[in-house]
Amino acid sequence: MIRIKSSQDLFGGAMLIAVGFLGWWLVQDLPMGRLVRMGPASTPSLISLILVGFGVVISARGLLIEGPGLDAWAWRPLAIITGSIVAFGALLERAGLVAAALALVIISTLAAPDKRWGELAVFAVGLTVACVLIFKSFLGLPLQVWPL
Amino acid sequence: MTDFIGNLALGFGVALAPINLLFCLIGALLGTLIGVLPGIGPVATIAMLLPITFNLQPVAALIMLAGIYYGAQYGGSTTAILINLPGESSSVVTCLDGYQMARQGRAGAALAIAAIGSFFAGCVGTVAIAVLAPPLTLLAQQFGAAEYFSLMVFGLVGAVVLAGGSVLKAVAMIFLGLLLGLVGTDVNSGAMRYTFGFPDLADGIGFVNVAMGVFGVAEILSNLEKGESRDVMSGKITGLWPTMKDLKEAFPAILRGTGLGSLLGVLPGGGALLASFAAYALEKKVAKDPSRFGKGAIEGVAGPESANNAGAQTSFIPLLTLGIPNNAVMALMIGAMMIHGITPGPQVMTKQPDLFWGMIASMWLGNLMLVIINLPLIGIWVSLLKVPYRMMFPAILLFCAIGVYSLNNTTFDVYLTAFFGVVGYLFIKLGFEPAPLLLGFILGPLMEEYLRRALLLSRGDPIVLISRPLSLTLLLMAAGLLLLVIAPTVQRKRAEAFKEP
Repeated sequence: MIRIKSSQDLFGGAMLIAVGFLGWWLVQDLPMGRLVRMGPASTPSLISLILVGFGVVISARGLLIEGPGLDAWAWRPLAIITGSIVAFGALLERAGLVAAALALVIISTLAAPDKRWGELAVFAVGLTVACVLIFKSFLGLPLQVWPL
Repeated sequence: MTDFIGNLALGFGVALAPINLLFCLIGALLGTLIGVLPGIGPVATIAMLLPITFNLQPVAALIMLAGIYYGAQYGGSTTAILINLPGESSSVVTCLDGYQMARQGRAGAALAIAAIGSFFAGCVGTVAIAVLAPPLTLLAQQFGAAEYFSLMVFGLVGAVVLAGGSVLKAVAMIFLGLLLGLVGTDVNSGAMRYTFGFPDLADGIGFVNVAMGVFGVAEILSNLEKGESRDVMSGKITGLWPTMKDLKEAFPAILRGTGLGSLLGVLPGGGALLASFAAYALEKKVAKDPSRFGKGAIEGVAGPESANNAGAQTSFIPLLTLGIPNNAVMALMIGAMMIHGITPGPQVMTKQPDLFWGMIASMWLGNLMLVIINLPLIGIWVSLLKVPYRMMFPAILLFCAIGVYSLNNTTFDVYLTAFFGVVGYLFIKLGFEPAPLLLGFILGPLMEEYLRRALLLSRGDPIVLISRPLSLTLLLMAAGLLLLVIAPTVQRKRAEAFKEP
């Protein structure tokens, strides 16, 4: 039974191997070309294989050399923050900047351990107004403020 | 010499135009404002403020971006001194003695010395750029495709050697970056690579999306996870002016820091971070009584602060003369220049001298402004630091999201940034540094292009890379560096240099 000495390296290496294989496989339909006229598949294939090589070495180190392990993932903030950005993207062109900004601020604040609802309401509105003034009125970026 | 004065005169003519002066001021102010916020380094600051410069003239935009850069750099040290939290990685060492000085009631002196040291270093850095740029540009004009390819290899190797952390993982990140850079349409054949059928990916992944994701969003995630504790100096800051004794002690350190920083800034992978760590180590080594360090030694603030500013300045040299970024901030500057239709490289100096020299002159002006505006404004920065993180991070996220969207006016970029935020978080968890990735990402497509061109010209003979003397020299230097870093003694020294002293 092999003991994992550094799960961080083992998984890091595994990620590189996976990306490398994916990168190699995805360009196999494209022409390789020859040295004098390198095809579109040549550089990506080469880099992908090098990545696999690094992945193998790094994950092997994870098995052989003592090193840091993986710490737990903070799934809640990860999901909330990612979700708030996606919500912003989804709302911006459909419902306008005001709705999108409010959504991003309110959703992302859910990730804060010390949130206060009253403060959040004032802050979200204030920040949204400030953004409309800065980006739309002052900088003149082509942003849609209200729903169509 | 007359050239030198003529060039600088031209530069100041451009930089002193009221409109450019105004944007330099706004840039320095905004950069400091964002840079003061803990956990947001110069890369994230520049990426976040990039959209503000879209509608400006290229000269004004670059002047403003440069202002943002050293403003952010400077703001980071304020945070380090006042709340013992580095605003960015290059001010980690400033925390050590700066915060101790603040606790002893000498925050004013520490801040003033940091400002004076930075200004002095900024002056020297500006002169260094003005002196070194023309000869380097001449050299660069002899470069062919093979030389450029080899130069980039050298740059990437250097970036790994001089960056902190595991060499193996840093190199892997470069290759990952190179691969990411190849996403999109292949310029030679028109073939789509790694676009997964998304038409938005046909032009490749935007570097701002990657930078904002792995530096901005991932940083917020990691801060939320750690749970942030801050201890803002509550007492009033008095006695802004350092005493004569302070100045006497600090001045040699400023000189040494400036020299070391200017040198390290030019090297690939160098720049502010390495400069400040090396300067702190140097100060500790030359001090008569090294035990004072970590307990509020003024040299421990003066040296690193001068060095990181000098390094920040001189890292513009490879970018402006060769068109090659040597660190993540410069990679962002290249992206910013390209948005304004400027291809960085030796031709900028000859074809757009007003832009080139104007930017250099504005660097000096920007440094001057930082000293003049920031010392009186320290109270404002401190009150900004009292804003709780639960309000800070949603605001940062919102500015990032709007900025990313307005780059191309497509929500696809917003989603892409969210994706790279998750990727960046994964990197943190797996112990990978994101900076080499960004460098590889910017250089990937360029390297492929130069390699192809070199091979096409040599009719497919790879010997061309080593048969041309300049190219061979660069490759040998890269190989030498690589061998050096693998050597066990150097590896140990390197680990020491990046350990918090």
